[in-house]
Amino acid sequence: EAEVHRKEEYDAAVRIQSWYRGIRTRSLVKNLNRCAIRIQRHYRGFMGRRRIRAILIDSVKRMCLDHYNKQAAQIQKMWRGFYVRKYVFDYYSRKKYLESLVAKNEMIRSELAEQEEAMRREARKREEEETRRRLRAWAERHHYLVSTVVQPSVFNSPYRPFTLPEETLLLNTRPKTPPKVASVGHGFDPSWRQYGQNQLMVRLPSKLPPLPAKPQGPFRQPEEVRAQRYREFQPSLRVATDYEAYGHLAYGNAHFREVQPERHVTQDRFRTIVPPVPVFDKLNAEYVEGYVEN
Amino acid sequence: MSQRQVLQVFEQYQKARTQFVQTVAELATRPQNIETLQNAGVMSLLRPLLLDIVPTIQQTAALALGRLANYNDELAEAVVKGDILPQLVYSLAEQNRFYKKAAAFVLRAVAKHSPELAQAVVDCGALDALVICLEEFDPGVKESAAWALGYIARHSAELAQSVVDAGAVPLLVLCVQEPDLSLKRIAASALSDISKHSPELAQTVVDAGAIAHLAQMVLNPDAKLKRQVFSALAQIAKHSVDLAEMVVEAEIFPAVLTCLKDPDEYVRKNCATLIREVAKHTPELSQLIVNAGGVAAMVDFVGDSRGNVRLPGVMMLGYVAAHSENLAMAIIVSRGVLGLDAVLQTEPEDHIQAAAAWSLGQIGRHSPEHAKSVAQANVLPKLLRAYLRPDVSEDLQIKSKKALKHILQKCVHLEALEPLLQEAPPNILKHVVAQFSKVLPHNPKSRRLFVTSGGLKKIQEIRAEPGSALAEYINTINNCYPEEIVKYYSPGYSDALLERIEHYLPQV
Repeated sequence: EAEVHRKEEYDAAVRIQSWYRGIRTRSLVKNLNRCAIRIQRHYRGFMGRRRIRAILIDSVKRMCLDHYNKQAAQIQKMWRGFYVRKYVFDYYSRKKYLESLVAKNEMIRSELAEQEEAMRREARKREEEETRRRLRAWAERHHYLVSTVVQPSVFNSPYRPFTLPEETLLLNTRPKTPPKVASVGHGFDPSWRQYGQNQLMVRLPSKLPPLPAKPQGPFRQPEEVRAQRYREFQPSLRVATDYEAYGHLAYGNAHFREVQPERHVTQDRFRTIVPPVPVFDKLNAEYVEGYVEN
Repeated sequence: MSQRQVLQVFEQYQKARTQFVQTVAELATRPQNIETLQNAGVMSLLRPLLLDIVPTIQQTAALALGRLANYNDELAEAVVKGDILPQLVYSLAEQNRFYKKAAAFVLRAVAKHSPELAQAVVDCGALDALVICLEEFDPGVKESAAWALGYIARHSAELAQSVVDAGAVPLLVLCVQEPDLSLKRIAASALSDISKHSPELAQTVVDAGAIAHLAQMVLNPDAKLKRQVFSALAQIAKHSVDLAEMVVEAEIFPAVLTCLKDPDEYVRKNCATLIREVAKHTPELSQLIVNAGGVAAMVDFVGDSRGNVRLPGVMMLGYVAAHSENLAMAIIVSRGVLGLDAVLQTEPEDHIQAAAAWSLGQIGRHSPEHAKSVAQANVLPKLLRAYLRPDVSEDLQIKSKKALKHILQKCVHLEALEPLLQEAPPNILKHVVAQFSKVLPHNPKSRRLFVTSGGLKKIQEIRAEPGSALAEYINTINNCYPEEIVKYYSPGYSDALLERIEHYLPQV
């Protein structure tokens, strides 16, 4: 009997022990699980927080950048508007420019009109001057058309109630005589002396006297003959000198060839290298001996 | 026979020769005699007289030859074929100044007719001799030589280059400074003829210092001189921006604007040409001219002149407007549109009208403001008429069409567009309708005006292919209005209504 109960007690003991072992292992495993979970939980939190931190940093950075971008865009917007309005297309300055252009155009128009007027006036003046000159030239040449007491002229016709203006023009202008045609001149007279005439004024007569039938030998050139024939009178110095005066000095008075020995530096003559030549002494004498009072 | 009688024979012969040559020279001044002289074989008779011992006979023979060659190019060719030119060129170097004048006159008379004759003159070595003549003291000789050089250089760029290679340009610039008026004129005209062909030639002329002297003569009272001076400056300035800037730096503005009012019309024309050539290069140069008041002066010039004289003025306004929109606005403000409108209306010539149409297009194409100013001057119907007239030249048609297109693409001033609805052909009409379709959806007042002025009716009458741009525009416009109004104005609506009467059963 104890054998049967040994098996039952053995089984019961085993059962109790297995239960206890089970409990113990289960609690151990549970504990282990719990520890592992705890560790994993902490680890997961740590990793998650790390990730969140990175995301947070990222998003903060992005927010900052957005903010800066927006601010930069604002600045650029303002700048672009300013630049375009000032340099590319300034509406007000363009308006002012167009207004000033209109003003300038008016000024230029009036100035040009003035200058055109001045040019036309000048052209008209020149024309008038020209017509006046022509009329005067005509009147100067046609003075013979003026009417006399006895015979009225064409412009003062008795059949017309008024005189024409040409009449007054002719009366008022001084007539110009036609230029004197040079006269034929005297025949070629070889014996005629013409003193003091400039040989350029003497013309060669157009008709020379007829040559005799027999030629008289080789003739000199007419110009040579004329030059000799009408040669200028070349008087000597003595003849040409004026009696009364010597240029601006009165002739023969104290100042003419006067000698002032008190103003000489020395009474001696200049020393000469060559011996004195008697002829020169003669020349040193006065023009007329004794004429000038010393 | 005695010696005197022998000498007498020679004297008689000499007298006869002198008389012959003087009479021929005198007869050659009148054109009706020249045919007879040619038939009598005068060329072969005059040729040996050029080699005569007596200088007066040589000179008069050369003068007679020059007058004959001047008359027409057959005689000039006869001169060339008769081998007279080498003899003339040879004696140009040797003889006295009267002969030089006469010989240069002959060269000029031959060279003026055609490029081949001018080339023949150059081939005889005339250029060196003429350049030597330019160094003479006598102003008459210089004038003839400069005239001959000018006529040679006029024909083509190669001839002008050969003239320049002979070293003529510095001497011509010296001639321009001489006190003799006719010499100045001829020298300025020769410089103008040289510089007109190419930028290099113009640069050569500028390098010789021509611009300063030409600019000094701008205020000279002589009209013919001013013509040549302005022509020369214009030919220099037309080639490139640098040359135009150099011309402007010579401080010709604003003195040049005075000459736009000169009594002589060719002075005015050449002055306007100069301003046009300067203005067409860059916006800065145009701005300079506008700021100096040039636009006002030019508008007055266009208003006062008639015919071909005002063509450069019209083109200048177009060039200035083409550069930028504030320059175009400057032209509008200076009453330029009215001036151009007058040109378009009153000019009989097609090419001037074409230029006016082009200029108006350049003014109006920049912005709606510009298009409005142009349209308000009632210009668009005139442009349309110019486009549609059957007898106009192609140039005018193309230019007025382009101008209309440019202006219409920017025009939102609907009152000016409405007359165009009536008359325009389809290709213009589509632009007009496009503009309406842009404005009407946004502006109720204009919608009302559009209906009351009959525009909507006109739109309905237009037949457009479905799918084309015109149909789209018409659709857009129709969508701005309630359906009944659109149906009311559509053609055949009265018939549709009458048909409804037939199908209607009266409710008794």
